[in-house]
Amino acid sequence: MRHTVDHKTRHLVTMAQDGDESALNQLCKVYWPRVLWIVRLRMGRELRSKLESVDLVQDVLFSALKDIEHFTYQSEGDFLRWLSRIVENRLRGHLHRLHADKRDIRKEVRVNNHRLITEDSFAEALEVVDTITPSAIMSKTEDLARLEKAIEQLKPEYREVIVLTKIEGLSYKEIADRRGKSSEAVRKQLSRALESLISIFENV
Amino acid sequence: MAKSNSYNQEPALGEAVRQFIGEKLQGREPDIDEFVKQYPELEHQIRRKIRNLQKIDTLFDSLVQVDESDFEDATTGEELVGKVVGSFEIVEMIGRGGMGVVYLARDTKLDRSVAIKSIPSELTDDLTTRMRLSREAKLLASLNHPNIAVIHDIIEQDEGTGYLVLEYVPGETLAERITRGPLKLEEALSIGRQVAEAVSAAHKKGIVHRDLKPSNIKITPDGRVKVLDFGLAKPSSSEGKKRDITAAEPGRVIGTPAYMSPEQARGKETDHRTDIWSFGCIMYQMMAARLPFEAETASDTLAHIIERQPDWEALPQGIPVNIRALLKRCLEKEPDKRLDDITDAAIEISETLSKPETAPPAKLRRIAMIIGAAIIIVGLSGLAQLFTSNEQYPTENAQAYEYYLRGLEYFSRDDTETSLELAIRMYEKAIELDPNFALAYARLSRVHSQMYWFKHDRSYARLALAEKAVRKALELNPGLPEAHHSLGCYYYWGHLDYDRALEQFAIARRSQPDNGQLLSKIAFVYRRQGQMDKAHVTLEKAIELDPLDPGLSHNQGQTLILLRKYPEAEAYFDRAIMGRPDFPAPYSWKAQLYVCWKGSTVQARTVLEEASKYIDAAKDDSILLQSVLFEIFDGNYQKALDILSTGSSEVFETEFLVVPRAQLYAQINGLMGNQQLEQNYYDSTRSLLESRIAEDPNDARFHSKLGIAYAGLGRKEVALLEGNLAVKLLPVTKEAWQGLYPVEDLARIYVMVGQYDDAIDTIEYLLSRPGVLSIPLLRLDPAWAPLRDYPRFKKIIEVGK
Repeated sequence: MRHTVDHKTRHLVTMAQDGDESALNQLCKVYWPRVLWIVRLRMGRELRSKLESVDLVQDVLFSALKDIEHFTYQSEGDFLRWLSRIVENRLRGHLHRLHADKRDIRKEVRVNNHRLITEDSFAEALEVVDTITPSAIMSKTEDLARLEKAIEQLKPEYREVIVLTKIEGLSYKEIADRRGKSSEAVRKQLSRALESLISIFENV
Repeated sequence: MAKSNSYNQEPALGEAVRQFIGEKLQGREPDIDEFVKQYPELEHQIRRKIRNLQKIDTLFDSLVQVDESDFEDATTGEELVGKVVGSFEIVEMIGRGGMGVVYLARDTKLDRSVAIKSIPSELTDDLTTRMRLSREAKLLASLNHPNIAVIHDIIEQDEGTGYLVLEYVPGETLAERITRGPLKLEEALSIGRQVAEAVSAAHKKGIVHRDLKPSNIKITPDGRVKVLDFGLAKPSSSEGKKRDITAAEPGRVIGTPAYMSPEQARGKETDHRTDIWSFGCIMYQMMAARLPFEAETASDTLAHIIERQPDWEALPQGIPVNIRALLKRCLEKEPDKRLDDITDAAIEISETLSKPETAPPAKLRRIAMIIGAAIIIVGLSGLAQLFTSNEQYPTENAQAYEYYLRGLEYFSRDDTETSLELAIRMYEKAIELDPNFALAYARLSRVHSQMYWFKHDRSYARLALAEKAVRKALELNPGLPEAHHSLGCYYYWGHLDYDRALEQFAIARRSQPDNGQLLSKIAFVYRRQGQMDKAHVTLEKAIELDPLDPGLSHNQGQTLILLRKYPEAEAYFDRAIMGRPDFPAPYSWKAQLYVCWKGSTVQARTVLEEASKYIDAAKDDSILLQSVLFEIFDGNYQKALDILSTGSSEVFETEFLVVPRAQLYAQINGLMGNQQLEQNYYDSTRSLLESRIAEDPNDARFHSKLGIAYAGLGRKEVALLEGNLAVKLLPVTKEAWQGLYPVEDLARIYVMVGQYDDAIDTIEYLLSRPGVLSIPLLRLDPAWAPLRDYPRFKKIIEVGK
């Protein structure tokens, strides 16, 4: 089964790289909800609250997908990570730009007078997705929202280690090397982080 | 109690969970049942913790691992190929896009190709949406419009699923066409016209497309345009809550909102005008080879749509002014200010397409550019003049003013009935928007008068409209010079009442002494009065005031022909031709000049050949008629017959004369010695003219020619009766120019019935006054041949030498 998914993603990526818009469309359909959630889980409330609307997030995804020709396909997970990373970076770039000069925000970006900046913008983006495609992940929306809230309440170092392992897919060794710690220490920290996450998750 | 209990258990539970997680993280999968046995009193809590851990893991997994089922929606397709749905055999998959998969299928019942796609889920949501879809599908099918791809059928299967059976349209989409390379103006206009007609037909049935874009427009291999997916977009107003724009079009996942109207972009309610906006975007894109609103991101694009103006400079130079104006009206941000009826766009475009050649060749274009630049300078000062005095604010209503300007544009475009009718429509709209718009009433009146004058409509009802409008203008603003100008036109064109006309023009001139158009009207009245020299001088002054109006130069050329000042006339026609190379009249009159002046059919033909580069001669009566006459003059009868057969009108009709086609056949056959054919043709001429006269007994043009037909049939008495009646209906004393034509025809009748002295008397009379007839023409035209041995006639011709 994973093989099939991998095969299909690879196929679509190749087609999209050749400029097939409908392939790009499908990639977007399949990966968009995940990218949204991943970015959401990774960015944290503080940054997210600065994002003004769904459109921005969607734009970023589209423009990231336009860079698809620069992506070298290795595995399906790679693609998702590549995509969500690029989306997050762009979002951060946007935020930086927007808040660097407050006066320019209205002029340059958001003029459609949608509701302002809410926490809900991501949720709405997901709602949009919901209407687009019946996706396996959509049935889990409620649980994911709970997970998100739980992660939000974690200590920053716990959140980081969870994101790095569970989403980025890094090994203890890779994290340990980045941090200058031992693999054992990373594993123990993850263990504590997960324990903490479970407790919070139960109560949100 | 519970609290202390949990407090007591907490360390133990935490220890247990840590242990479990630790084992898991080390890659071991502890057996849960075995594990909980170690903590019997905590089993329940531990199991719950483990369940949550597993849940969290699954959630993370589901995020990073795409499920195969996610692809189903996107990639299903191939499996339906070869299967049968209802009476349709699925042949192949032909497309996949935002709206799902599209198949080519064979309708086994009706033996035709159809396109099939699954009904987009948002259209199956609720009953009202489904009913609307089905109702609109029926309406569209009933329209049977050549430019709309219809929904043949809706196959409803289980709850929420079903298929649309659509008309199969082969060919590429406009989006593909645009990517392939730039479109020629004609191609873009032709596509635009067909799209506008499709949308117009749908709007008339109350159906709005809402997602008009190049990928929804197909071009069949034979150039026919079909608009797809009508009735498939959900109206925004039917949605209960306002949603984000991204939700307004659930089918759109990736792509561009470039064709969205500002109201769509704002998530507001939309109506038919949203299609007009999108149409404007498509037209702009076809012509400028770029989108009117384009930015790197969708939200920036939306911002541009709402805030910015398209770059009008990006439209190529060759785009006609009226099309530019049309685009601007379509891309008006405020729906209330936008073009309201896409039918107007369809008319505007087809009018533009039907104009002969729009782009003159390079040399003329260069000259036209120089003249154009001059017009801008003169035009600006002219405009400034328009807004001084008491016309400072012709209307407060900007939209009314715009209609008014468009009316002016049509009115000055040419004299065809269509242009005049369009001008009337524009003024009427202007008045509708501002019922106190005096200037628009004044202009409206003038167009009505001109409809009458050019014989497009010789009814009293038309004159009544002209009068009513001008009276209203004067009632609103008694001093308005344009109103007096129009009242003058009404007296002149409507009643040949020269005195009253001159009186009104004089009133207008007091406030507008520098208005060349107004002064030219005075000159024209003089010309009709027979005061040719005065007309010539006055017109010269008018030309000084308005040097770039080709119409004035053309008229001066005509005046000089009438005055038989041929060498001077030539230059005026050249000026007129240079200014408007697409107008047939200056060519026709320049050709006339060479036969009148030099009796040279060679030079005359050269002019007509030049004209044929810009004008479809077969469609212009005066030019076709002349081509035939020149061949007759040269004795090339067969060639004359050949040219005659290229035309399509039964009667050649110009302002001055009507010539039934059959009469030319009769004349040529007579010259060729085919007496029987000659008689037959004269007889059909007779019956045709008799019935035309029954409709309009006062038109001298018909009576003259009926006289000739009778003469051809040997019916001398009635021939002379009709010929004289024509002269009486339009006496030279009343109309010094047009009145000459019945007189000349009477001379022809005299020749035909053998009354040569009367004929020569008449010819002498014609030569004694300003007119078109000339000695070289007398030599050239075989109609006068029977007189050639007659001493009096010889003498006249000798004088000419």
